[in-house]
Order: sequence, then C-alpha cells, then structure tokens
Amino acid sequence: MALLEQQLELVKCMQAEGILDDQFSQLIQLQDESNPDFVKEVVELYFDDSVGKIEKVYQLLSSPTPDYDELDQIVHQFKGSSASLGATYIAQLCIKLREGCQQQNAAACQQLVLQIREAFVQLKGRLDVYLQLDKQRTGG
Amino acid sequence: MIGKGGPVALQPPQLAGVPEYVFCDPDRLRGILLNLYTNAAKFTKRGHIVLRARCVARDYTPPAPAGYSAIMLQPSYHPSSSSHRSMDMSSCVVLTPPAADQPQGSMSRAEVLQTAAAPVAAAPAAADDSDSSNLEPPQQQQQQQFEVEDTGVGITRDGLATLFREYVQGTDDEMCKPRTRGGTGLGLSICSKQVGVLGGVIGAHSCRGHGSTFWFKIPTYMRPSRSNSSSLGKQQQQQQEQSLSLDGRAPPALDTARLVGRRVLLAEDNLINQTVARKMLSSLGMHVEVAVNGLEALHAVQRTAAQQQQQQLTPATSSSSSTDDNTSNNKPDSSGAAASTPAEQPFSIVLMDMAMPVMGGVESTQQIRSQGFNLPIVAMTANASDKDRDECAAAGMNGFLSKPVLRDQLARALLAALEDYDGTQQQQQQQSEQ
Repeated sequence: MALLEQQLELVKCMQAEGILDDQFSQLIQLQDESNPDFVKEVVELYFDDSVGKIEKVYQLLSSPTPDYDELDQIVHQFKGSSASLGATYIAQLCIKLREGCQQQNAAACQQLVLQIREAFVQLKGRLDVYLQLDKQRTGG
Repeated sequence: MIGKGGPVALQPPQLAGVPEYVFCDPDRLRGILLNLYTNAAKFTKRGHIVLRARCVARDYTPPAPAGYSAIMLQPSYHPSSSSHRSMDMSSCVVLTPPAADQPQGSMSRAEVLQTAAAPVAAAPAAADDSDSSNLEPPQQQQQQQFEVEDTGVGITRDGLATLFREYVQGTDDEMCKPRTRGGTGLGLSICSKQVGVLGGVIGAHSCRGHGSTFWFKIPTYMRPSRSNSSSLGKQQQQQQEQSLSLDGRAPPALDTARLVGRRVLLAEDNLINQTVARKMLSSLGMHVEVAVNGLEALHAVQRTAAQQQQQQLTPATSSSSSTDDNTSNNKPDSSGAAASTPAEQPFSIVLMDMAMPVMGGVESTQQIRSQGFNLPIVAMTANASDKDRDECAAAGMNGFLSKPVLRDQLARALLAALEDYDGTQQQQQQQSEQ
C-alpha cells in the first residue's frame, strides 16, 4: 500500500476507534506547500506540551492538599490542546478530570490521570508511526 | 474485494423514513458506523454489506431471524456501574479502571513516555459537555436505529458472548480464513463505549455461515425551528445545518472570498490552539495577528485605531490596497480606511478566547466596547453553555464558536459576523451622507 494510503488508513482506524476525531483530518487538509510540515509541527508541539502538563498534574496530585484550582486550569488547557489536535479521547478524559477537580475528589482524579497517561502513550505511539510514514513519504 | 465489480456489494444505505436532520454527536456516530463497516468488510467474502437506518420505538429491539444467536448490551458510561441485558449469554461489558500501579509523586518525562506494559481497559469517555450545549433546546427525542448487515462468515453463539470485549482474538472456527487471524480487537469494544456515551443500546445477531447484523439504537433530537436573525442566531442556524444529515447531503459550499485580505486579531494563549487557528485563518486568505491575552488584544485594537487616525491625518504616500472595510465613523473604529500593508490595515474582526491569563475574553471585550470600538468580536471557547453565550452577548460579542473549531465553522462564523457589521456600517454611511 502506498505510504500516503497507509497514513490515511492509520488515521481512519484511530478515528474509528474514537482516539482521534475529524479535527485531525482538518489538520491534514490544512497542510500545504507553504507549510508542508504543519501536521508534524502541531503533533510535536502537542507531545511536548502534554508531557509537561501530565508531569505537572502528577506533581499537584501528589500533594496532601492538591491545589484543585491550578489543577483545573492545567487540565482545561490540556483539554483545549487535545481538542485542537483531534485527540478526542484524551479531551473526554480531561472533561472527566475537571469534574473530579471541581468535586475535589483526589481518588477519582488520580485514576483519571492514569487513564490520560495511558491514552497519551497510546496516541503518541500511533502518531509516531504516522510521522515516520510521513518522513518516508516526503524523504524528510 | 468490496464494491463495484467485486464479489461483495456495498449496497447504498437504506434510510427510508428517517428525518432529514437530527441532532446527535456526528463524530461518534460516524466512528461507530465506520467501525461496523470495517468489521463487516473484514469478514465478508461474498454477498453484500448494507446499512439501514430508521426511527424506532424506545423499547424496540430488532428480532433475530430463526436460527440466529443474538446479543444486546446497554453500555453505561459510568465506570462504577454497568448494566446489560443479554438475550443469549451474559456478556457484560464491565469497564474496570486500571490498577493503581503507579507510585505517587512526580513522574519523570521518561516515565510519562514509557509504553504501557499491558493493555489497559480504559474507562469510557464522559459525555462531551461542549458539543450539544451550544444548540437550542431540542423539541423532540427520537430513537434512531442503525444496522450494518453482512453476508459474512457469521459468528458462533460463544463468539457473540465476548464480542464487545477488548482484544477478542478470533479462533479459526469463528473467524474466516485466509485473512488475518486478528479478531475484533478494540473496535467493537470502543463502539459499545461510544454507544454508551450516546445513551444507546448495541447488539448483534449472527448465524455461522450466513452472516451477521450489528445494530445500535441511540436517542436523537429533532431539529428545532429557526429563530432570530441576529448574528448569533444566524450562526446557530449555520451550525445546525452542519448537524449530521442522515441522507449524507453536504451543507452548501461557502463563499470565503469576502474574507481574503482581511486582518484578524486572534486572542488565544494556548500555543497549539494558536497554531491551528492561525493556519485555518491563513488558509482563508486572512492576515493574522496574535495576542496571548485579553490585555494584549485590547492594546492591539487601540494601536491599530491610533495608526488609522494617524493615517487619516497625514496624506497617503502610496496607493492603498482596496479592502471591503468601511470608512471610519466618528467613533474610534478599527475598521477604517484601507492601509497599504497588511500590518497597517485595521482589524476587520477579533477572535477572542474566553479563558486567558492576565485578562480574559469577556473583560477584554467589555474594555474594547467601552472605548468605542465596534468591530466584530467572535468568542472562541471550550465553554459552550447557555450561560457563557449570554455572558458573551452581554459583553458585546457578535458571535460564538465552540472549540474545537472546524475550518468551515470558523469561516461561517466570520462571514456572519462581518455581514452584520458591514451592513450596519453601510447604513450608517448612507445616513451620514444624506
């Protein structure tokens, strides 16, 4: 299968599985000659940003008295950037985590952060494959 | 091979009797249908695959043909509870959270990036709190049932029992040869979760050697009547027209020529959101300036208005590029006469995030309006409740977009806000000339 088809198939599968949504397809459509690495740029920005946010969330939750307001702000940001990328499953988990913050439910928050981490690792693995295919296709 | 000329006919969807438009979650619905189609394609060597959709009664369950085994689940999206009804064998999808195997405390970057050792059954996603809250209250709920029928290898009774679990690996008896031995993997499990989030029921009936029908039933809402003609109302209409059209008709094509060359101020603190929005706006031919908070946005509007006034006081030294912007009125207005470079052009419109540090979107808008600037301001926000909409309107915003924003939605909102504004400006100009 041509590399582009493989990439698109990978995205379709992730969309069918509910990991990504249409927003990611938008990013692919936005990529053009003036910005041929647009998707890579956004994905890598997201990876970098997300790792920092997940670390920070773990830090905050490790405190005996977590600052739920700060936690909520970080998760709100994370939800926004996940939604902008099309990482819909992570965005949904962030919504749940915000509810946990608003209820100041430490146990629920910790559980959700674990799930977010797992979902992020899964997403990153699959998008790394996507980027590898892109690199092979473009010779970059 | 599936499709035209192949041994498996992909028949056109049968949509008799379904309404033209309904409200639901188009992304989830699309994902579920794609998954079911993909599964059907994987296990069908000859015959057909067909989708049927119809309105059904709330308690309706499709009957299985004689000799077929059946299963039905009512997935719950609360991890602490699960409910199911099984017509054949118990096959409860109990979504257990992963074991708490991580130490408390901070995690290193390496730990965060470490691949999970074993697959984890993730809790189902919560109902999205942003998708439906920007719609008018639904008038009527209807149950829509979708079925994907195939004439594939069929599934045994035992196979049905575990069908919606993750990582079900097909045996030689249950799955066809010589295709890959892979079973249903995550797909059907995710389908059931998504159906659960939508508040529906999912099931299947199958007979070995004859084929399968996977079905699900979800509540949807009828399209409310059209309301006011304000920009916010027009935009709502446009967003409603983007709701899933079950007969597959696309919304009318957009004429975005009116946006080309216009200058937009994007007030957004999140770098990823900025990058995506900036690219969308550039792809529409607009010139983008970014402010990272509401205070920067206010200063940018003030600065361009001051530049505008300065240009009006001094003679033009080069020919101006023509824009669709109106000439200035008595109020300090950022949409005045054209300037020669994009950086000197006034802003035609502001896209304003709500939650920003230093100064949020609402306060920034209030300040902008209190200083007499009447250029269109469209809210872009992940918070899409009625209360937020009201707050935006009260602050003086002209439009409202729920994140994440698709390009077409963005274009529609910009066009609607500009149409209203340009119309008002023209009227004022005509009145002042009389």
